[in-house]
Amino acid sequence: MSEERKNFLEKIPFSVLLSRRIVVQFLGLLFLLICAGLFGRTAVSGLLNATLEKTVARQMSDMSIVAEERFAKELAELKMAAQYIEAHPSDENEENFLNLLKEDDLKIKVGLIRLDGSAVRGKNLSKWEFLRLPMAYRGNDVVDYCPGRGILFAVPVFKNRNVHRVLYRLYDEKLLSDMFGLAEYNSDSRLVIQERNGNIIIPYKNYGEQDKKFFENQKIRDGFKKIREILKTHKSGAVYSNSELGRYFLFATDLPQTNCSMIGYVPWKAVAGDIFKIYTIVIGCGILMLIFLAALGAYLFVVRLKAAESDELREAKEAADAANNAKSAFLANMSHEIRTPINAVIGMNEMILRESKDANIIKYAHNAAAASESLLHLINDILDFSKIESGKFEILEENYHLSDVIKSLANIIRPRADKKNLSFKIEVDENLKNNLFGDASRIRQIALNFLTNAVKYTKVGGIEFIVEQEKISDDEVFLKFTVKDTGLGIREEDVKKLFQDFERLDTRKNKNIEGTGLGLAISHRLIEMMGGEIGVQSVYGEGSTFYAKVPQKVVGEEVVGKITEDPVNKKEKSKTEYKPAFIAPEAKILVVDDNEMNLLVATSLLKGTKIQVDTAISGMECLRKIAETQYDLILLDQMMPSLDGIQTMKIAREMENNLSKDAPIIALTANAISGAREMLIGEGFDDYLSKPIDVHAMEEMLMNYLPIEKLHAPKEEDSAEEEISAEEKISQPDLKYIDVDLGLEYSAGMADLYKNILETFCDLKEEKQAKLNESFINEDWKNYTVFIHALKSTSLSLGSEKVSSKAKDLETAGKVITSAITSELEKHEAIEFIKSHHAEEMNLYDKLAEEAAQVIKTL
Amino acid sequence: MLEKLKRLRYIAAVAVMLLFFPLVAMVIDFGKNFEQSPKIGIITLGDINVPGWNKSHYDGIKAACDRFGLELLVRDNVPENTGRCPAAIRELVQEGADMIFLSSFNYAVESKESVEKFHNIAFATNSSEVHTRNLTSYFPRMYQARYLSGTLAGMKTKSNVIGYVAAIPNAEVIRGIDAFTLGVQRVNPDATVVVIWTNSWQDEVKEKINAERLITEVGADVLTYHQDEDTVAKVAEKFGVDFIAYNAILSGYSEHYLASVYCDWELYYIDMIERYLKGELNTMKNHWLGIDRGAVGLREFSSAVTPEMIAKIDSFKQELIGNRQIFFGPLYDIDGEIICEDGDAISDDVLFESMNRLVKGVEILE
Repeated sequence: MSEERKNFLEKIPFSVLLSRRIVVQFLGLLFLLICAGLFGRTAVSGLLNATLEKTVARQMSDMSIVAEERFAKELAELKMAAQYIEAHPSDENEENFLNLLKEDDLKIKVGLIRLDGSAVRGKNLSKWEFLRLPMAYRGNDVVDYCPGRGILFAVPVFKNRNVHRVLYRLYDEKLLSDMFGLAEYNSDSRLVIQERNGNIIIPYKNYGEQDKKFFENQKIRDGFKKIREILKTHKSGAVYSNSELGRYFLFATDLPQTNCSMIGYVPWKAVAGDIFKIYTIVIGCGILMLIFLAALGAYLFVVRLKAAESDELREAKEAADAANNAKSAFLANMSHEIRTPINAVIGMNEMILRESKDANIIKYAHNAAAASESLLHLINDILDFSKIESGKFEILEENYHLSDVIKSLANIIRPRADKKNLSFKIEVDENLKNNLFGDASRIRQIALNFLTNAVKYTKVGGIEFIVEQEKISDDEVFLKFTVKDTGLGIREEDVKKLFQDFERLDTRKNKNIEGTGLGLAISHRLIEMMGGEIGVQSVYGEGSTFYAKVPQKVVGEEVVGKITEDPVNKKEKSKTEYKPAFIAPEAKILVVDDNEMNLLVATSLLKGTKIQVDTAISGMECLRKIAETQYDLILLDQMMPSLDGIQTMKIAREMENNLSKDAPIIALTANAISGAREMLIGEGFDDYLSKPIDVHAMEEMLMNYLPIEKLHAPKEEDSAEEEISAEEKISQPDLKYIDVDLGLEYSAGMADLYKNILETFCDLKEEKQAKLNESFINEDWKNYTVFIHALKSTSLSLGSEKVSSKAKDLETAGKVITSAITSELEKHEAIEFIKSHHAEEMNLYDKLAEEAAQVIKTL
Repeated sequence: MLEKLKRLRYIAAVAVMLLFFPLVAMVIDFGKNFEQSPKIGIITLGDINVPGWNKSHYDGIKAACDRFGLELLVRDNVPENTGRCPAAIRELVQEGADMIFLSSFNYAVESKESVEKFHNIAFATNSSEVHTRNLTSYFPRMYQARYLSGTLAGMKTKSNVIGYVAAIPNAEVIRGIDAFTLGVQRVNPDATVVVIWTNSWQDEVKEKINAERLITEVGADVLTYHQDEDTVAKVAEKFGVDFIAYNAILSGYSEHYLASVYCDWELYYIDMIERYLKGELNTMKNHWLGIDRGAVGLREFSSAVTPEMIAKIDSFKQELIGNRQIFFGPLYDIDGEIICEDGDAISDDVLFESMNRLVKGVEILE
């Protein structure tokens, strides 16, 4: 290849090169196909013509046989006469027979001749006219033709077994047409008698100038020449002839025992007729095949292009999958990491709300509660999205009351709208079906998303919430929520982007509005999963109307009726003054967690319910305790060193001396990632609570699972609460590892709680460090990871970011080692990391314990 | 990737080609195989590889089959009257023969039942003892050549005694002798033809004795014979006597070898197979092939035959080609009885089937 060409080719993109090649190949194929088609046409037409030639030839054979039979009949008649003359030789007999044979027809001549041709009766015959006549002298029957004279039949008359005379009958030429039955053949055809040497043509009947021209045509002559060849070895022959005169079948047959042939021609059409419609069919099929091939070619082209790209695509997909996995892992991590501190925040804040009497503090605490709730909300959004992304999201359908959903939505939105001085109007037809079957919580989530968005993006005006139903069938309706607002509205070009992931519109204008931007995307996906429809109409600057439509089954006749909203500030109030949902002083529950912090939070949160809370710091201790005490319920953390939550639960269920065998076991987990709930319940847990613990959810759960007789209504009088002054200034020594403020922050500002935590930490330090070291020495990376995780959380709640971040690094390394998908190299690196940093961390651990002891003294 | 595609493309192209051409061939074949060519069979008495009667037939039919592109099936060394011929017919039919030629005189007699049983097979033979619907007797008018050889002998003889070593007194041999004698008489009415019988188609010893007797006892100075092989020729050559050979062009003889009465067996078989292919073979019970078609004649005159003689013989030949008959009246037999009256002629059927009378002018040497 020349350099120029090479350069040129290099400049052409691969796909263009490929497509050009394909076009060339396709043309090649087409050419081949056309060749095949032409060949096929020739072959088929050749075959058909050959078959027709044979048919025509066979017809001619039949005609020849017919002629032969006529001759035989003729000769038999003569022979009979000859025999009679032989047997009764007399002039009278001869005369009579000859007259009989003559049939009084002037065109028929009869005679009896000597062997030299001279006539005894009738006329002389010359052997130079009738060349076959001497055969009669040798005692054979003769049929012979002489142009101008006619056709001769002659038989010998014997005398003493020797040939004595020859009896003949001569037919005038004009009679021949009938004799050979020429008129009886196909009406389209022309038949003539010809001498075998082929030179002289004896025309019959309808023979005209045109026929003469026909037979003189060179191609026709060639055709008959070919037939002559065939006749050498065949009784009859026919050939297809295509000349300027048209398409014909030429045919010929030798007339037996004569010097004559019958030849003729018939138009191709008269014979072929409809058979050749096969062409049309064949061509039709060919065209269909061509189309099919073209389609196939196009398909192959696409497939090949794809194949060429597939490697890149695969790589890209792998990269994307890896990124997606990383994202999921990140989300899972985040959820865990964020929920642990939020657990503390929400828990402690709850305690403040319950126990503080100071109006200011309650106000701060409210703010904190709102903030942490919205934080939790964000995390939940992300989690939802990750669930949908990973396909683990499930629609859980159940019976529900539409009115409940509407009420709860109203209760949430009303206060927010009021706060922004927005009107909030609910329009619900009283006759809507109330008993529906579907995923109520998801529907509620979608509607809530619309409503909160409406509140968020509306500055003045109001919000309208319309609930409608469209009947699909007797037991199914479309449930339609419409939310109209007088907010910012959406630009037309942005409407399309609205339901896309992580999309926030008009970011400059809305920068002060919080949220992940996932709400609508999640709603969109949820609606799709439920087989519904979601949409928006908006005029920019005037407002938007969002609607969602989902099919729901109707399972009852009840109607919604009038929607009554709870008093506006009820919820607010219930939040300001915490009241436990119940009290159960006789109930005894066990909380199991490897993190003292968490145990403390759980215990504190349950204080109000007066439940007797027992704690266990490990799975082992849990098992010990349930063997000694009968509990009404067990809250069991999922991730613990040695025996994890699942193992503990399984052993407990099978343990013989388990006094708490009937106690429901609820899993506690910070792994609120998709699939966790299903997994835990699948493993055998009765239910599951996600961390950070929501006090209401926990109380609700307890109410569900605790024995009903142990549940009591809460008492009216407030329980005496100790006042804790968080503002109390504590003089701190110079600390290197502990940030007391941070620690206090994690303990919700409660110095005694903080002290408590520090003391617990110091008490358990030696034991825990020993375990950590032991697993390090044994290279038991699984337990090491669990222990170091505990150290990470605990140290952080003490306020030691240093120790915690170091522990976090080690934990990450541990996770890498224990992960199933890690490569050997990565594992090796991770182990090396732990080995080189463990000692340092242990050193920090010691220092931290020392300082913790110091801090305790100051508190 | 590209390399792979390229290779794939070539493989595909080759595959398409490979598929395409057999298909094309198949279509052509489909058109051609429409007609299956028939197979021809022959049964001979002797070995087809030994020069003589059998080989001349085999060579003739082989050449004819090759000309038409037909397959030839052969059964040779099949003796007469042993039941071997019907078995051979059965074998040939099983092998797919569509037409069978029986090349020895008695085959048809002993195989009549087999011939009738395989009525879809066309048969031909060179004897006329038996006739069935699917068996035709086929013979060259060898007697025409005998007639011409008779004129040659008549012109060459000085002693007016011509010797004739004959095998068996059947129609074929007798009409040969008669035609020969009529030829001799045409040019030399004073000459006699002395016939001596061997009663065998092939008996070297007897043929030799007979030939010697003809020369020494009756003074024949021209010999001819009707035997499968050329023993008589050898004797004549030895004695320095002129002779006319039969059915073979001999070599290694002096000018005493005047000529051969020959038959063009290739033409004979071509005519037969042509008629078979045209479906006309069995339309006649007897079929003659004569000098007019060039089937028989005299061949390779020696230097002892003068150009005048040759010219004369040629004029006789032209007469025959012009349908002159040899056996016409008045014709008397050896005993002076009339065979054929003046103005009459002996029919082909009689010549072929029942010519049993030697004509006047023949003498028998007992």
